[in-house]
Parts: sequence; C-alpha cells; structure tokens
Amino acid sequence: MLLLFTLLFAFFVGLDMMGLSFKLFGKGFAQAMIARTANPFVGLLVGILATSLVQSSSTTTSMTVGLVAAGALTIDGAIPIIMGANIGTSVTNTLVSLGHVTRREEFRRAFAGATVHDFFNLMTVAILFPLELGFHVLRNSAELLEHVLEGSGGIKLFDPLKAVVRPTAEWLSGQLGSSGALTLVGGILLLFLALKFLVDLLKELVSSRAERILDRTLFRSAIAAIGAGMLITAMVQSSSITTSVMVPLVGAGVVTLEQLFPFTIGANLGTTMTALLAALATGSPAAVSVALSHLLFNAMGALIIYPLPPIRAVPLGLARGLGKLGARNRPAAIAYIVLVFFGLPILLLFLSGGF
Amino acid sequence: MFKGIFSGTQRSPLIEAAFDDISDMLRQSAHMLDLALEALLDNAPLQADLDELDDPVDEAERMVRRSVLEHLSFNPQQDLVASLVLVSMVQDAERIGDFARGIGELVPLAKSPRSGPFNEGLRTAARDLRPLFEVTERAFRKDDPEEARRVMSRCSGLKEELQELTRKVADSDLTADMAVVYANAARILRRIGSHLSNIASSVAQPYDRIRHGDEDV
Repeated sequence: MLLLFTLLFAFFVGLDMMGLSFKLFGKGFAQAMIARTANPFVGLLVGILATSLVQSSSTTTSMTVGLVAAGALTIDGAIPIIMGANIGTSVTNTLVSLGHVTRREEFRRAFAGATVHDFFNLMTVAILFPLELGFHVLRNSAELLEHVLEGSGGIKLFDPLKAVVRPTAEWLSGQLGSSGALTLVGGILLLFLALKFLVDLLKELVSSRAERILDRTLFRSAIAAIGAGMLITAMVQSSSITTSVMVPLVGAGVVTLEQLFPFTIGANLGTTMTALLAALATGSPAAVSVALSHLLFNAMGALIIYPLPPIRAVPLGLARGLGKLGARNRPAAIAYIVLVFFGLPILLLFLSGGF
Repeated sequence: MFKGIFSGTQRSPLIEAAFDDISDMLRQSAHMLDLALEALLDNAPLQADLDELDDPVDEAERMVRRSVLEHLSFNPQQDLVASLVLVSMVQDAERIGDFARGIGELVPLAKSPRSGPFNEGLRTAARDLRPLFEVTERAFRKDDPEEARRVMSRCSGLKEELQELTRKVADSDLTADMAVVYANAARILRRIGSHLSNIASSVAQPYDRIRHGDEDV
C-alpha cells in the first residue's frame, strides 16, 4: 500500500513538474506549443504515434492533461490528441495477437479479437472527429459536465494533495538547476515511470480479483461484460493490459468476438480514469474538461456503435475479415499494423503540413 | 508436489475453483460407476440415464480448461505448474466418467443374468477400486503424496488382478456375449484404475513424470 501511494505521489509530482517547466520556459514557449498543435490532424496523429510508441494511452492522455493545465495546450488542441491516443493504444493487443501467428486458426481468432478494438476506435474517431471539428460536440459537452463538477466542489477534492505535491515538484526542479528543459524531461520521465510501475503493481495486487470478475461476468451479458472491462481496467489503470489478456482467450476460442466486443468497450471507458485522476490533481478546469472529453468520446462511441446491431456488425465484420486475411497471408497482418499505427500517421502528418 | 508450488503464496481463486470442479467430476463419476456396477453385477435395472449423468462431467472439464486459460492469461507466473497439472488431471477425470458410462453400456450386451466366479472376480475388483476415488480426491486436495502413492500402488495391483481375470475369460467356455461383457468390464475397471493413478501421480510425481507407468490398453 505504501508503495502504491508513493507511486501515485510520484505520478502527481511528475505531472506538476511538467506544469512548472512551462512556467520556467516562459510564455513564448507555451504559445509556440499551442500554435504547433492548432492543426487538429496533427494532434490526432501525434496522439496515435506517441501512444503507439510508448504503448500506453494513459501516459499520453495524462501528459496531454498536464500540458492543458500548464497552459501549453488548448482544449481544442488536446481533444484530437486524446482521440489519437485511443487509436494508438489498440496497437498493444494487436501486437500480442502476433504471438499466435504459428497456429493458423488460433491466429485468425486472436487477430480478429485484437483488431475489433482497432476498428471500434477508428470508427469512433471517423464519426466524432468531424463532429468535433464542425460543432465542438465533445468540447461543449465536456465543459458543461466540468461546470457541473466544479459547482459540486468535485474539482477541489485534490486541493490538499497539491499542498504536498507542489513543494516536492519545486524542490526537484531546483535540483535540476531550475531549467525548463530538464524539469520537463524529468517530469515526463517521472510520470512515465510512476505510471509504468503503478500499472505493474496494481496488476499484481488485483489480478486474482480481476480474473474472478472476468470469469463471473464475461459470459453473462453485454452490460456485464462492459462493466467488467471498465472495472478491471480502472483497477489496473491500463486498457492495454485488459485487452491484451483477452487475446489468448479469444485465440483459444473460449471467448467469442461478440463476447469480447462489449468488454473492449468497457476497457476503453475504464482507461479514461487515469487522465481524470491526473486532471483532478492539477485542479485546472480546462484539464478536467479534456479528461471528461476523453470519457465522453468513449461513451459516445459506445452509444453510437454498440446498441444497433447493423452498426455493431461493422467493426465485428471488419475484424473477422482482417482475421481471415491475416491467417491466410501473415505478412498482411504485419503490414496492417505498420500501416495503420505508423505509416498512416506519418503520411497524414506530411499531407496536413505538420512537418 | 503442490506444496512446493504453492508455498508462501495464495492460490488463485480460479485455480482453486478448478480443483473443486475436479473433485465434483470424481464424485459424479463414482456415482455413475456405482449405478452401472449395480446394474451389471447385481442384475438390477439401471437407475438413471448415464449419458445424462455424464453431461455435468463434460461441462466441468470445459470449465476447468477455461478457468486455467483465464488464469494464465491474467497471471502466467502464479500457479503455472498447477495450471498445467490441472489440464492433465481434468483429462483423466473426464475419461473416468466415460468409462463409468461404458460399464452401463455392457449391460444390454449380456443375454443372461451375471453370476459365477467371473462376476465375483469383478465384484471384488470393484470393491477395491471404489474407495480409491475418495482417497485420490483427498490426496490432491490435501496435497498428500503418501496417499497418492497408495492409490498408485493399489491401482497397479488391481491392474494385474484384472489382467489375470481377462486371461481366464479368454480360456473359458463362456458364451460370446458373456465373454465380451466380462472381458470388457475387466478392461474398463483397469482403465478407471489407471486414470485414478494418473491423477494421483500428479501429486506424488514431478511434473515430467506425471502418468509415468501408465500403459495404454
């Protein structure tokens, strides 16, 4: 427990150090950052690439929330990054599915199981990204929700924590010579490592309970599966872990694609808790709005795609088709991963003039 | 063997549940065997549909396999060997259910009531075999290698006795139907003993020597 709280504290300190670094850099640097991420396509692609590389959407979303709290990123600039992080995080279980590549049938199921997560996230972005650009659906809803939360005093919950976090962050920054660059790098490193060890520790602490929840709920109903995905992911603070542990079960044929899909949606919802926790720790209303937009993005995606069978059949059908293609032609499976998670973002970055 | 695996740690709840399932499978198979033997050796009508009674055994096998996979997906480091042992044990437990059903399938093959020395020989073997279900279950629940070795030793003795009975059936002047029934009943009881011995060997033997000494008939 002591280790758990220490890691949580380190996570908050890392976040605060990021905020401090922008104060040390001065206003000009933050404005340059904002200008750089003003193009929403760039934000989206940065989210995909960054998350694909670190294989943790929690790291990307927490950093995004930290940057918003520090004033280095606007809400409009942050939302596309959050969307990109959602796509990028699904690379982990797709990579895990490659472990089944030597057994054709098993790989067909495992790859389909992994990519249903990709297709759900890609579809959600395809629907909500234009809506956000045109009407700011997510930003407006998130800000409304943030006002409600602020009105109920929810944002002030973490105020006592800040009294301890800030002096520690300032002390650490002082040790780094009060350099903006070093404080930023130190903050990111601390946040990344704290989150990594936190996830490892939580997985160890809750795995027995989590496997029991999974066993009891997954095969009951879609609602139970969504609840299980959400709960287990919130417990381990990583959707990559919860979606990845399902891959062998789908590969073995124990869990069907239809049973897995609502669980995946639940995992997407559960993973939004990390950024929400980070945002509440910053105490910044804008950061809380961004974290809430992450939650709303996944909730809206679930509500649009899952309830209606013909729409639900789209990601399921695409995943099934890709599973078959990957099993028949295994290099095609590798090509899909490289293309979707790395090639496409880089190409779009060029096309949108982001470079 | 399990003591070494679990020392200082808590067993996963799913693995614990899988052990409960194997206990249930053994109890159900023992019940099926009782009914089948009563019909075969005492010429009593079969009291239940053995196929139906075997369904929960088959379902429990699926549950155990699923639980083991779920557990290993979450936590491959914890209870790894126990998980692999469970997959081996559940296969033996399921086969015992099938063999108990097999005894019941012999009853309609006999054109006359069962009596005489071969029937008594089978009765004695069954009387020796039957308590080994409980001993085997106790051995793996309590992780007791001594009890497990006792099961293995007794099953080995039973195998020889039943092989001898089969030889005598072959040399006898029984009608074809009765010879088939007695020889097959002896074979089935021997196989049930072998599967109980396999389960016991997972407690008494190192992992790579589980089922050691078992022979295919």
